[in-house]
Amino acid sequence: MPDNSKNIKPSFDQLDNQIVDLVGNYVKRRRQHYEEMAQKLHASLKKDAARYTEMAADGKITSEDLGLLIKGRWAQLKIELLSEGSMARNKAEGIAGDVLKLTLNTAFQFV
Amino acid sequence: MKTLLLSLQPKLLLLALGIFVVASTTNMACSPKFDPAAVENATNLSTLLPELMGHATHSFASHSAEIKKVTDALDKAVAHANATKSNKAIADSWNTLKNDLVTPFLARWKEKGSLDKDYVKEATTQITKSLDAIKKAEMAKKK
Repeated sequence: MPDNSKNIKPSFDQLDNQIVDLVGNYVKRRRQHYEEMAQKLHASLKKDAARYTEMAADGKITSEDLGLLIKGRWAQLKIELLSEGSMARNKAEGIAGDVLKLTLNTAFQFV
Repeated sequence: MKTLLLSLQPKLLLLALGIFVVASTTNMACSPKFDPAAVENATNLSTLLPELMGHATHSFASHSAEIKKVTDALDKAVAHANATKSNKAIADSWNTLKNDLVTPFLARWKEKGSLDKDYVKEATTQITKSLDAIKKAEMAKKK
């Protein structure tokens, strides 16, 4: 388990390529559109997820709080996308769910 | 031929007019209309929820009346959004706010008795920004 908090942000940055790959599991057509959407989702999540993870690594919040905050941040993003009308349901929901799983898995390496 | 065309023209005009009327009324029915009650719900909860969450560093039990007041207001807002026609995206946003943000926060507060200030601060930011997005979407509806 990495205990160095300076590894947290780079670990989230390394997920960028995996995010692009997972899009292929859902779409064949308009793939570029969905890749861009998944990257946008992840870029928005990772900054806050890295901050929450640092807080958990520093003992300011518990690991359970960390999980709740990352899920909450994902819910906030979903609301922002739904309210903008830019989220096509079905496939986008699946992609967003996988982005959340990857983010959670990365965060829990550090706590 | 000319006579035939001339005799058809009024009918074609009426048909075109009919198609236009049907298309425009259908479009109006599908576009959500501005809803002052929904804006008021979002505005009230933008005050009530952060205020309540600010007390989560203290005992859950001592704030039970206030918690009930806020959860009732949220339930009312969600029910209103779900009952509104052509409002799927915003109703989904309200449901997500309730099920994925507010309910887990209150459950955690109840379970632990009181919460840490750092967790409360971050969770409050998420809920405030989510309500801002819902309010923005409500305000964007045609008046």
